[in-house]
Amino acid sequence: MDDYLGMIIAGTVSGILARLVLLKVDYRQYPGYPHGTVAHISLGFIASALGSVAVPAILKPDFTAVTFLALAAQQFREIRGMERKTLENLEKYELVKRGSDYIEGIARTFEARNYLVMATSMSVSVAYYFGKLPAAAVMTVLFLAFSLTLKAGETIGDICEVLPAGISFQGSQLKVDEIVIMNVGLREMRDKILKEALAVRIRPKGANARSVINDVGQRMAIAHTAATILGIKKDIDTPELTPLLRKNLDTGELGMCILPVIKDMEALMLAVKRTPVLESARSKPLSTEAGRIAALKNDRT
Amino acid sequence: MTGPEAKKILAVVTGDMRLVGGGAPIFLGRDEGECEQIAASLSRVLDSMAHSLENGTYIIVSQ
Repeated sequence: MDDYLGMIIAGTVSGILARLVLLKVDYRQYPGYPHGTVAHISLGFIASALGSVAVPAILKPDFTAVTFLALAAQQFREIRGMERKTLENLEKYELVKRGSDYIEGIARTFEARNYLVMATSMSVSVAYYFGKLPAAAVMTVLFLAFSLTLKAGETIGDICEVLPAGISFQGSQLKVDEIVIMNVGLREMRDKILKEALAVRIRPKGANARSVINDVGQRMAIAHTAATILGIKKDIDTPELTPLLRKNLDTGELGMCILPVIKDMEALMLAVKRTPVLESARSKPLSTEAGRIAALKNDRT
Repeated sequence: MTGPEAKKILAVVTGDMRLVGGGAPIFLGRDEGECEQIAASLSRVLDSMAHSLENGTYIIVSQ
């Protein structure tokens, strides 16, 4: 009995540790609020308790008891739905929208993190069974390291170059370098944009990166991140000031124009670079033969 | 917005009635300045964007 108790406690504690490590609360990571954090830690606790109980259940042996893991999976899927719904509801009142790709990415991350917590606590309780506390400690460290590598993820800065760009108007067409962004009808707004806007150019490093920034959801995520970090001079009645990203049709490079509250090019470039690459935008044309041939022939690897 | 949401022309502002027609409400300005001013007011009221067709005509487009 003591053995089982030890396993369960070791598993649960390591699971909660893993959840805490994964719970990075920053500008883009929902929840950024105390209550959201509490909710997610509690769910992490439940997940880790379930994971650590599974092994004693098998040892007892009570094989059918393991089926509750399926129940847990169902529960976590619901969390994903809940997360998505909350963010979609908030989205209506966002001045610069996250976009459904970003929302889906966040929701999926939360579901996946609970599975990761469950896996951690299950493995640690197995380790405790075979090697008591030392083995459990080693297993915990291994899983925490693994979780940290998963959390890091790729960012736009890893796959693209971000360069300062110039803003100009051709008639009423707003342009970032040669990329046409939108038609701004009012002279007053054109003057404001010319005076106060910043523009960057995002140059993909290779065909894989090009297909990532081709994704409209990914572009919305970039605009949202930049606007959140630097602040944005936009209100409901001035849609002209929405940050937009459009691409050069021939090269796949993106141009972005934004009116930040803090006009600082270096900060803007950093903000764009640290936007996460969304899972739904990620694609790898270069890992297919067709993609490689196309890239080689066009000299664009 | 970057998304592919359907856009709609909410109003048309022009200085020359011969250039325009159709279903959206049309506002006639006496000169270029007045057209721009009407377009600006409408875009504020409708929370939407004023685009210039560069022939003295503006369209107010919903976001």
